Amino acid sequence: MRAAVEMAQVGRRPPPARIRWGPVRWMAANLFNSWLNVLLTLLAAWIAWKTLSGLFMWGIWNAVFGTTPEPCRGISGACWSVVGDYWRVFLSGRYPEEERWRVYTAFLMILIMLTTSAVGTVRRTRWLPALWLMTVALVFTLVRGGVFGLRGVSTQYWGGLLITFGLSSVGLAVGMPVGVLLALGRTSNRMPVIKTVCVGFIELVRSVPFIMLLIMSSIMLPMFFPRGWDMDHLLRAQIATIMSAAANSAEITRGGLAAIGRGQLEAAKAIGLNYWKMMGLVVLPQALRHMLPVFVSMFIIFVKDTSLVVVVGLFDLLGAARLAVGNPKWMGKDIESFVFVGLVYFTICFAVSRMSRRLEAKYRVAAH
Amino acid sequence: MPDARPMIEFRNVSKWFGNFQVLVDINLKIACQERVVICGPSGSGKSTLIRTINRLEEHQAGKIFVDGEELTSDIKQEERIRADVGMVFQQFNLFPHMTARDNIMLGPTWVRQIPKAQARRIADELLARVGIPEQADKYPAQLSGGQQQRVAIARALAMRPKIMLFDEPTSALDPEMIKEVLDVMRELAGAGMTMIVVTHEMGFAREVADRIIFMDAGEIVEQNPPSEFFQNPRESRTKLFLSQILHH
Repeated sequence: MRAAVEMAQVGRRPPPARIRWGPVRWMAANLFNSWLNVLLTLLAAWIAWKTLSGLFMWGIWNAVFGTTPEPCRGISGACWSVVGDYWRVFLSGRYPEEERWRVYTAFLMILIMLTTSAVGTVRRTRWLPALWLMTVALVFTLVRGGVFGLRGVSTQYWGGLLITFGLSSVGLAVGMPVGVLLALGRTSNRMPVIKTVCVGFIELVRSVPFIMLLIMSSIMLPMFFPRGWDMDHLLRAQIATIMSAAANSAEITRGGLAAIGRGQLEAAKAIGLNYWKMMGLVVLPQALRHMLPVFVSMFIIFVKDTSLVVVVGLFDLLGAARLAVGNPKWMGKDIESFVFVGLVYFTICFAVSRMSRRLEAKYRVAAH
Repeated sequence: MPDARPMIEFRNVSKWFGNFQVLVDINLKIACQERVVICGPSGSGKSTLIRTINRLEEHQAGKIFVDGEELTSDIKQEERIRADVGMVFQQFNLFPHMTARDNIMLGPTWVRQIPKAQARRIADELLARVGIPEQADKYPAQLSGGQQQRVAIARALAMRPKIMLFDEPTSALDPEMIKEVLDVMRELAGAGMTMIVVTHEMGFAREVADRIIFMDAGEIVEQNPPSEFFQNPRESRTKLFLSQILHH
């Protein structure tokens, strides 16, 4: 048997070496190989030069980087001093100045947890979920205060990146498991009441634009609770994000469940697994791995959609940008403020999207 | 010592898919440690028949008894019966997100509540028994068809079943891998497992089966020990089927 295999490889040899073209030759072959292409290349190059050089001159060469408005008078470039002055507001809103270190510590803790969780050996330890829960509790107590000698800071002073991250992360973290349960409820044919309730909720929440969900939850939620209790405004918005995340996750999961072949269910049943074990051990791990990129794009969409909370009186990152511009000191510096915030949004979303690609690639090898 | 009560019994069992009757008044008794091969043209209901034993399909008329217990729609009973009846599928149906060893350990750990270390030992023993101990840490996608099917057999055996059902286990395999799977099944038969095998592998049937059942259009047409079955087929449908599969 082995002799036969070895014989089959005797005639084989490695492929011919690939010739690598230098950049000049590549350009000649691809960009300048016909008169039309030469024209298009030159046109594209001119457009690129105009825009990039314009941006560079405005944003960097002629720009002023400081913290006071005086040096910005009369310049043709960007006045980044608005960022220099307001960066604390961008990060934590109208949080009391002396207590801002608490927000920064919280951010740092989350960052540390994220980076260490990405390391393979750490991820496999069974303490990780407990550690995360502890971190989240700590972060919340730290920012909220009121205990352990920390001055209480009510949510109306929270703002900026704190709210953007907080709303989207908690929204997704709570909404996703709820959504998975909703999807299971929706696909269960043995329990028609549960199925109807799940379908009703999902369709209702998904048929309404997110901004309406925010407004409705801000107005309607207090009605369900004892009169006179002013329900925390941030909590109202958080509930809206959780509901939206749950409904969308439910539909995504339903798609993923449908992609799991019947054979998997039969094999699971054949060894005696009950419904929940079958779902938890066999079906959901496969479905969720396939749906990972979709969930990540949902997170990115949430990060952007939290900018809508400005309509219910909360100040997220975008709201902070508008706050900065509203200050008469920085009148007219809208572009700089929004461009900076835009860059922050871009960085966050791009980083998350790259991370998800790496995760996808890794899971594809194992799960196939 | 095999006991007198049949391990599996069908009494006037019928099943319909919509308006189409796929099993017609099946009466069958299978004894403990008996090896039965079921063959027949496609659409004859042979796969459906064995799938009613572990209730992957439900029968609408008649009674089915597994080890003396009548099958009902009670969910708890379903799960219990399924833990004692192992099944091997034509498409293997291994869990792709788990290694070979984890596939095998799943049943004992989560259904029989066996501690992980012991389940791991069981898995490694079974992998050795089916001849692929070195593949324990590979994922199904990295294994050949024959290896995957052997892992599937090990996975079914890990539950220490009383009965093993095989639904065309070699039909999806390349010819050069059929022998390795049949060898495992031969060893299993030799060790005294009650087996019901739906297959077209007549060589295997002749060698291993105690009884061969021929089904056509939902009915059991003929059943006999292999020597009788191949040499003196009584029904014309049986003769037709045998002529089609034995001479190519």
